[in-house]
Amino acid sequence: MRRSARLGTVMFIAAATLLAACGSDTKDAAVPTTTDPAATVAGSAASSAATTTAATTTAATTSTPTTSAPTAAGATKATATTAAPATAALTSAAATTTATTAATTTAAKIAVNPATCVAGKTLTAGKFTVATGNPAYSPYVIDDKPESGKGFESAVTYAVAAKMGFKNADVVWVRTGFDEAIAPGPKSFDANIQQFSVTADRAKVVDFSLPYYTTNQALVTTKTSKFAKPKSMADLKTAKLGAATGTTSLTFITGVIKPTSAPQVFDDNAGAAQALQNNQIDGLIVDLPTAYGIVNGGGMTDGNLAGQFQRLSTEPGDQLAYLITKGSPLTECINGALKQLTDDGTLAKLATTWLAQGTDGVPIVPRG
Amino acid sequence: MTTPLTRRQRYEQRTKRRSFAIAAASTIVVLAAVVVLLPMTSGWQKVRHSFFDGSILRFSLGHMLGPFWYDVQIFLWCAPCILLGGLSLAFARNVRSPALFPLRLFSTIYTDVFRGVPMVLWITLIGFGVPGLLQSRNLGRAVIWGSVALIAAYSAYVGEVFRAGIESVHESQRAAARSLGMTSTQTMRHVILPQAIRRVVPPLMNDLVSLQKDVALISILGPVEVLRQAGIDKAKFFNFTPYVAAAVLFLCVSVPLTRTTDHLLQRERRRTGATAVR
Repeated sequence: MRRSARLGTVMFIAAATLLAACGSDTKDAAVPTTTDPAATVAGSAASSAATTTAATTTAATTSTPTTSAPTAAGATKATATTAAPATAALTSAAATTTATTAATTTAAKIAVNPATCVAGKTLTAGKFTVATGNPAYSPYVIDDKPESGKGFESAVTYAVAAKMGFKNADVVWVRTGFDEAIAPGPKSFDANIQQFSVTADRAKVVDFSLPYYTTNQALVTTKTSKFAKPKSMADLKTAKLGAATGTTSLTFITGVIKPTSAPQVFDDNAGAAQALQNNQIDGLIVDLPTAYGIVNGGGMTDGNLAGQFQRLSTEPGDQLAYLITKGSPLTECINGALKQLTDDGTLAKLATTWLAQGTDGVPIVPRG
Repeated sequence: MTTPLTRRQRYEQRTKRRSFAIAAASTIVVLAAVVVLLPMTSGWQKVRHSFFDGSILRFSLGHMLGPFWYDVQIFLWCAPCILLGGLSLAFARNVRSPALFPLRLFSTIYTDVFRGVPMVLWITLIGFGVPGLLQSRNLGRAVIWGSVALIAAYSAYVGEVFRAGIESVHESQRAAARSLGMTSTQTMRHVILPQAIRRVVPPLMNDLVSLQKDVALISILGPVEVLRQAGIDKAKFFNFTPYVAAAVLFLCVSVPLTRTTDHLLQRERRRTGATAVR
């Protein structure tokens, strides 16, 4: 009895300490969370949809590397004050991910000359260390060999590196999982490219580059499924849908399609595809290029790319961007390179080369 | 209570108080050291923000209760099945009739195979494999085959625990029971098992607590239980606090579970201990 009483006391103290730690965290939450002004850009359902599209095109402040920080910070602050409070975003964002997407690309820092910008800012001097998934999937990386330059993300990375003055041989590839990329502590990469979708919540924790690709969500079914040719999104209300965990595809199911049965969530698309084959789910939601990869990559014997979902003009779509450590000086250099690649049409050309085969002519599933 | 304490009792009381004071003081010193030293590490601010964000913790705890209840439900129907399965395996392994040797062989092989492969693999293989054969929405539900995988694998572990308990009862007990005219079944039922089970309660609890956590592995197959929900929230905020919230929920169940068992065992020891002379 005595022993258990003592144990009880110890546990009570331990629990109290944990609670105290979290409690004090909320009181001075401003200290760690909002050191970067961009962190407060919390696009809410109401405000972001309209402001985002304008902001992405206009508010991007071009500046020289030396003076960029103060100007950009000022610009972001103005945006931040008009945004909804972070707590509102906390509760509402689940339902509105597509609407909040890309709020973070507003007022991005962009270096005028990416080639002179990078000096001394990379992990290893003279090298550009880029992380991708393990494994990396087609058509973003062909045959899981990013160093080949084949596949969209691999090709984009070599183009970005070239704009920043790196030779192909100076690009070093490493592999990280999703958790490793977002964990606190020193990172093993300068930039991480594995179809990270930009959202306002995520941008509080990491830096995102300008998007290198914007895609729609798509539906994969079996060929014989009764959902193989949906006329509109409403047809999918009764479908049992699946997605990979932590994806914007999942939030698309819960927030936009809103089927009557709860979505099934898998570790990765391979598990979801297996469940689809087993008739455990009716359909799998993924981004469009990945959908093509699943249907044609040999993972499914009777996969069917049923369609891509219509994007409303107020929605930015699923914007894929490089993930970079929060506050990294390299962000503006990568942004500068990406801006040049957008302006000279290289990005569009690479997208045609690597993604058009899978994305052109896919039927559009309208809303409603 | 009004009778004055003997010198011996006073002495014992003093030592008890003293040891309690020492335990309390050392606990406070250790906790204070953690509370003071941890924030002095260079990465503490980042770690605190990533793992102990107050607002995310509240958000997660709030909507994780549903998924966690799902975990508890799975646990509740798996646990009795596992105890039954384990006991059957233990019996099968203990049969002494030569005619039943195949049963013994089966039990041995079963235990080896199911204990020898990681739980994640069993859940993936059974949970994706069998529904692939069935091709049926209702019979192929992930939660059914996930539970089957858990029950199948855990029965092997628990079977070994029961076997150890049964074998720990001295052979003389069996001999005594048989010489009183009990059949071998009666001996098992009334003499061996009561002693065996009492002895293996602590290791059984070990397995049950471990099961309560492994239930989360069913999320591989698609159902959104607490660990999956935590993973989804993590990806939403790029923050690991939801995992801490999930850990807190698991502790809320497993700590009372273990404390209660400890308490019951202690009571049992006091009741049947060697000092209780009648």
